[in-house]
Parts: sequence; C-alpha cells; structure tokens
Amino acid sequence: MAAPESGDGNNGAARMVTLISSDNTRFEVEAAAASLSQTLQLTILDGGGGGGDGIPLPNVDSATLSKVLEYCIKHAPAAANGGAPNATAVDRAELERFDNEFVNIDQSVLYSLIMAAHNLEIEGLQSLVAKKVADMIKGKSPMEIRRTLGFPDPTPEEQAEMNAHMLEYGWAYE
Amino acid sequence: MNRFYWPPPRSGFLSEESKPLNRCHGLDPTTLHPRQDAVLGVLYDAIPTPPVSCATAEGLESGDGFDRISSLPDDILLRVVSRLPAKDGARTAALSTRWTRLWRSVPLVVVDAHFLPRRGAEGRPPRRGTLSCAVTDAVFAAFESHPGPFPFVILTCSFFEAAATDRAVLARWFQLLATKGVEELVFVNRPWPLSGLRLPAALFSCASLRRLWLGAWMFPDTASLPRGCAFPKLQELVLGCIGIEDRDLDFILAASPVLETLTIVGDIEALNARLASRSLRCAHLCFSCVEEVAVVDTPSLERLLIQKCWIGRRNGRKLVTRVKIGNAPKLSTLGYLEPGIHVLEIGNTVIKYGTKVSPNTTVPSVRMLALQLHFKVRSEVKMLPCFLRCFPNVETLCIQSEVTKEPTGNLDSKFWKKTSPIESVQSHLKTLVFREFQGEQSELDFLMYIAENARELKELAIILKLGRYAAAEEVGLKLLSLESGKWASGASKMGCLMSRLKDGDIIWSLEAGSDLSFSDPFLLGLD
Repeated sequence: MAAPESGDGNNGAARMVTLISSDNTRFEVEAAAASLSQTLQLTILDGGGGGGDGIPLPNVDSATLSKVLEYCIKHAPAAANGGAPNATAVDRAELERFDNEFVNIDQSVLYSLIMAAHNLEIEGLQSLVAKKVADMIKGKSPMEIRRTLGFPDPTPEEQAEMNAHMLEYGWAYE
Repeated sequence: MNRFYWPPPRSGFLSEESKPLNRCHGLDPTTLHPRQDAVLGVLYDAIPTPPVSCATAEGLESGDGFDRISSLPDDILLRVVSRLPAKDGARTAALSTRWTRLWRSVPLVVVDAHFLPRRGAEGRPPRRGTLSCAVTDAVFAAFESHPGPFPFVILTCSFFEAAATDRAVLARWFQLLATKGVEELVFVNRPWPLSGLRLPAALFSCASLRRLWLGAWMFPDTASLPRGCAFPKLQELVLGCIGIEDRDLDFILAASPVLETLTIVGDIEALNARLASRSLRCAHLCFSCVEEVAVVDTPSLERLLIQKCWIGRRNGRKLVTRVKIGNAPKLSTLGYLEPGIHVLEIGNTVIKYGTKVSPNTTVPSVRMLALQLHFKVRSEVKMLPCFLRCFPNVETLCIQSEVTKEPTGNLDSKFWKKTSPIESVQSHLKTLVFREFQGEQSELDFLMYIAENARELKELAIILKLGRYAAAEEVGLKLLSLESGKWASGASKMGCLMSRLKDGDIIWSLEAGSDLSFSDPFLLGLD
C-alpha cells in the first residue's frame, strides 16, 4: 500500500515536521502549515524538522507556539491556493470569523504573539496582530491610547507636549 | 445542472440589501433627476474600498503598567500606524517624539468620510453646509501636516461650487497631492457636475498616480495644457459622470503610456470614444451617452464592454451608436452588442443584412460575445446571424432577451431554416447562456437553430422569468419541444434556471467588468 510519492506533502499522508519551543515542548505539525513562516520555509524545504530531529525555536514559548500553530493550521489550506482567489465567500467569511476570534486575547498574549509573528515572519499573522493593535487605538484620545497601550502616566512635560500637539493637529480632534 | 436559481444565491450579484451606508450617495433625491440618481447610485456603489477602516476593537488593558506595546521595534509599530485612518494616526503622533516620527514616516491614507461624525456611519452629507465644509477643511489640514506620500486618497464628501474660494482650495489640494505624491485617488464632487467648474489642470501634475477615479466633474480643458503633460504610471482610469470632450479623452489616452483599464460610466456629453493606446487591455463604457465607440488602434485590448450606452432619440427616431472595430488583434471579450441601436463596423465595412463574410469583416480573436436584443423586433433578429458571422471563433455566447415595448411582428418562421451555416455556431460554440427568456416563438426558433447546428455545444442555459409568463404552460411545452429536438451535439445540453431578477433589473457590475482578473465580466455565473 505504500504510496511511492509520499514525502512531498502533495500526495498520500502529508509530511509532518517537529518544532521545539523554548521550554522544550515538541509540536508535530504538517509541513505546509509550518511553512507559512518565512523563517522556517527554507529549512523545511531542505528536509529539516523531519524524523526525530525537530527545529528548535528558542524565542517562542510553548503557550505562544501552540497559538501560532493554531493560526497556521487554519490558514494553510487557503495559502496553498495562492491566497485563494477562487475561495468562496463562505470560506473567506469563515476565516475572517476565525481571525477576529483568534485575536480576542489578553494583551500579554497579544504581545507574545506579535513578537513570535515577527520572529517567524508569518505575513498574515503579522498583519492580523498589527490590525488588532490599530483597532485598539482607533477612536481614542491620546490619553486613552496611552492607557490602552500601557504607557506610564505622562510627566508634566509630556502633558504639555501633548497639549501643544492637539493644538497643532486640531483637525485630528474634531 | 443541479442549480435552480440564477444568479446563484450568495453570488453577490444582487447585494442591495447588504449595501453599507457609505456606498450610497446620500444626496437629497428631490434635488436629482431620476436618471442622475440612478447613475450616481451606480458610481458611489463602486467606489473602491479603502485599505484602512474605522472599525475599532476593545483591547484588554495591560494592567502591569509596563509600556510593552510601545517597546516593540519600529518596523512592527510602523505596520500598526499604517493601518490607522489619518485622524487616529495623527493622534498617536501626540504620544511621544518617537511616535511622531513613526507617523510622519508612514504613508498617509486619507478618506474624507472618516472625518464625518461617527466616522461616516450616518452616510455622506446630503447638501453643502457646515458639516461638508468642516470635512473639506480637515482634509486640507491633513494634507498640509503630513509630508506624504499619500498612497490612497478618497474624497467623496465635498460640495465644490463654481466660486473663487472653492477654486482656490481645489488648486491648493492638487498642488499638495502632486508635490507630496498620490498613487490612488478617488475624487467625486457633489452633487452633480457643474458646467462652470472644471477640475484644475494641476491634476496633470500628479505624475505618481497609478489609479485615478473621478466622479461628477467637468474634465480639464486639455487644449490649454502644455505638451508633455503625462501620467507615466497610470494603470487604471475611471471617469464617472464626467463631462469630457472627445479631444480630452484622446489626450489622456496619449498621455498615459501604461494605462490598462479605462472605465467610463454615466458620461454626460455625447462622446465619440476613439480608443488608441498601446497598453489598454480593458475598455468599459456603461450608462453613457455615446455616439461612437471606435477601437482604432489598441494592440493590447482584450476586453471591450458596452453596457446600456445610448444616444437617445431625435424627432421620435432612435439614434444609433457606431461600434467600430479596427486594429485589436487580442480582443477576446466583446459585448453587449445591440443590433437595435448599434451599427457595427469592422475594418472599413459597415455590417448590414447580407454583408458578405470575408477576412475584412471578421474579428477572429473574439471568444466570448454578448448580445442584447428584442426578439419581437424583426429588424433586430434579422441582424443576429450577421453579427454572429463577424466573430467566427466564439465559444461562449450570452444572449440577453429584452422586453419588447414596440413589437414589429415575427420574422418568417423559416428564417432560421433558411439561414446558411454560421461558423462559430457550427464549429466552436460551447456555451450559450440565454437570459430572460420571454417565451416568444422567435426566441425558440433561434434556440432550435443553435440546438440543430452547434456540434461542440456543452451547455445551453436558459434563464426563465419565474412566475412571469402569461401562458406558462405554453412556454413549458415549447421548451419541451426544444429539449426533444435533434441536437447536433448528440443529445440535449439544455438546462433551465429561474431568474431572481425583477423586470428592469440589470445584471452588471462595474468591478467585474473592469477587473481583468475576473473572468466572468458578463456575470454568467456558470461554473
């Protein structure tokens, strides 16, 4: 029964790779999903991560990696269709729903996710988390933005600068 | 065929119900002529979606008082700031000198509707007033305070009048757009083009434009422009409800060496569109007043779409629009040709009833053809085989049957029997979509001709008007006789679908027609 073409991920059983988080947890995922990471893509193409080896990711802890892989697994099929120009509206709506739900998370998790998406160069995820932070900023005053993003309270000098800015950029505050 | 309705549900062709407010023109309908109202509806409906939105999200506060997001590297924060509308971006510039630097280094997206109260959720202002003027001022200030570039600018809320102050603002806007660099510009005046107010000639100094989308303006008089004015990067041009002279269209085509897509919708003056362009791949004219569409010299043209273009009537007589096809060796998609109002000219030959087929009267590159006609008007049906003979390699044919208001009686019932073989039908036709079947005998005669002659036919889709036939049983019997006819392709390839359209609905989409990556410009909706 052994399919002669097995191994390239297109036929038969999909090829699996192992990723190892900073706290030494091993994650086995389809190569197609892990390849959404630009950083990992070439290593995987060269055959890395297979067998018992695994690719170590010293900058990503297991909680974050499991979240990242959840994203990659969900988005891998659409990415395989070249950005899915022929995906149906239903498929797109489902991905959008998933994305919205996916970033509905605590800010410290979001922060780790931003760093992981950046380090692993996962384009879609980088856009998604940037959009989430942008959405958190929209419609707020500078003081509210400071609070949302966890800035310390402004010093009197910073407060004076902010006031001056508000005068100069009056059009942004009407 | 396992479908029942056409267009298929969820295909997005009919989306009136789900249209967001900011895609409606929002003008006071009592100030508009019904035709203006309809054309503006089409125009606003197709305004491109900006790359940033005003949608917000609540974020859980970090709580530990540690400035974590702000400690992220610049390139991550740049991604964040570039996703902010202009107003929100400018507010982050107040956070610190680092954030000011970030905001100024990110290209600015300006959408004037984002400056409306509640970010435009209530729609655009219906008339000129404090609100529309405040938006105009805010846009001006945003252009002034950011160094550029402006990759995407949408201005659809202002009412510019033919007054000196408004002309000054316009001139300054275009000066800022030109010097700071605008790549995609959508600029629609409200409510309707004013004869005394032209777009400033400085439009032609925006050399970085890739996409230009103008609405409800009088086009600049190009006769007074210096030679050498050009849009060296312009790829897409949309002229919506624009008053433009023939020579101005000639000028802009000549000045845009990489222009691929030209869309003219709701043109307000009788236009002679003479297309000459090395780069043009798609020309799309709709709801316009057009005397002539002439494909003069367009070696790259793939698609010529004409939808509901007419010139009107004079002394009670319908005037005709000339459709001329000259040098267009790549033209593969053409329609809707209307035998009722179009005079087709190929090369130098006017196609008349009885015109002899020769290489000079055919366009062999056309693969997809659409025609619109009244099957109860004898002269139109008579021209149908003549038009088909001009396009010998057509594989996909769309026939849109129109409701006849002034019937002239049917043709001789032997007309199709006596029609000599048509090459495309005999040898190439694979798909025929017959839309809005009215139940007429002359429609059936044509369909029978196709069935009996089209050897390569794979699918004949007939779109029926659900519940709208006076004699439904008779229509059913006619279709049965067609299905049991003698099919040249071996067996019946017929399938019937129920139209979801109402009388007067038009199946057409500006985006689908003008987007070359979309392979179904006539919205046939087949697999």
